[in-house]
Amino acid sequence: MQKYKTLVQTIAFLLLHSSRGLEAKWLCVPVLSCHSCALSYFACPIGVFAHFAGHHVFPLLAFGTVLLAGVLVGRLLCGWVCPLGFLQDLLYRIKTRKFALPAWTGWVKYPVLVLTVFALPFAFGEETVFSFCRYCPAAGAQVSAPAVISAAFAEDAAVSGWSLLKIGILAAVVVAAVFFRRGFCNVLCPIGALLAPLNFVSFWAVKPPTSRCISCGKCNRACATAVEPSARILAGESPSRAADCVVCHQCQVVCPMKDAPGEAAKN
Amino acid sequence: MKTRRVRLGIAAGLCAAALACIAAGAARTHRVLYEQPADAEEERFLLPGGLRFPGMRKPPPKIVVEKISEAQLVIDATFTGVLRKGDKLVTQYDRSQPAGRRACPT
Repeated sequence: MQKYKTLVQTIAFLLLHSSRGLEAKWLCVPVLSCHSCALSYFACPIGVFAHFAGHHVFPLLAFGTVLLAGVLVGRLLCGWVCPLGFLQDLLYRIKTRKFALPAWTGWVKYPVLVLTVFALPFAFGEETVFSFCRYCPAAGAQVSAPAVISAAFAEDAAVSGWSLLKIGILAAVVVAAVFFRRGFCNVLCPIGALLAPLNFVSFWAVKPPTSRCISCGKCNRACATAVEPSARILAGESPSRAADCVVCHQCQVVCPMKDAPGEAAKN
Repeated sequence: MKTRRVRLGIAAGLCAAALACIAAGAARTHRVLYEQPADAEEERFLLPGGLRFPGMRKPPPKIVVEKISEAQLVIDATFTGVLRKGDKLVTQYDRSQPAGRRACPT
């Protein structure tokens, strides 16, 4: 499963960022990928929401698209398609001491969403310094870093402080990803905050791998976002009915009881 | 079983709401002001070293009101291509450029 997931993430990364002029930037794909990137095909919902908040216009098309994706698959796109999630998954494989984030940090992303995507751009305009786009690490990787690199080779090009700030934030996210499992997704990602409540009702859900959980804790250790799926599996509920679950299906794969007599047929 | 049914009901309702939003968004249009650049003929006189008569000023840009679809506004909003000035939306894009080849105004 892990191999398939990496393959899907690689293909998704290439498909999302291979435009050579062709684009469908009227369509929001709910993953953190900057639409200012010349290679992007699609619009970033966070950018569109922030701009529309500044315009004082409700983004019906973008909101409908994100809501539809969320209701159909929950946070599946976070786990399998998001390029920043993919980057964090790769960095977490670096062998070093790992740390767990306190549970309360999972709530930080909601005020981040409300303030930096809706309220502050609405109050101060789409170009406000408080907009999430000003600090977005995806924009740092896709736009600011290439701009700074190309400026280094150009004679009269200037590098803005905002570009350097975004690259600094990107560097912090990269370092954190080595030590914390999907730290950015859990704590700060506004798309995660948008989609998280929809995990509770989405049509796509991870089936409990067993009805005879032995509480071995393997699923908890394998979980990409530390939502402790064992408690839900023990209660016979879908482990993906948690706000921070990115629907990676890893808890299903590692369960030692999934192939137990009577369980294999169900799965 | 009851929880599952409630969950399915909520999901179906949200799905219908999402489709309604998409349909309304696809049908909606926005009035946007577009500052058309001055004609090339007029601009010629303003080039460095070009002809310039005493007292001649740069011609003001022509302001055109356009009705654009919401999908177009989403595209224009990328790169901060549209700004709110007062209660009006003003696009900064050079629309003579084909999609995908527009320069970022920021």
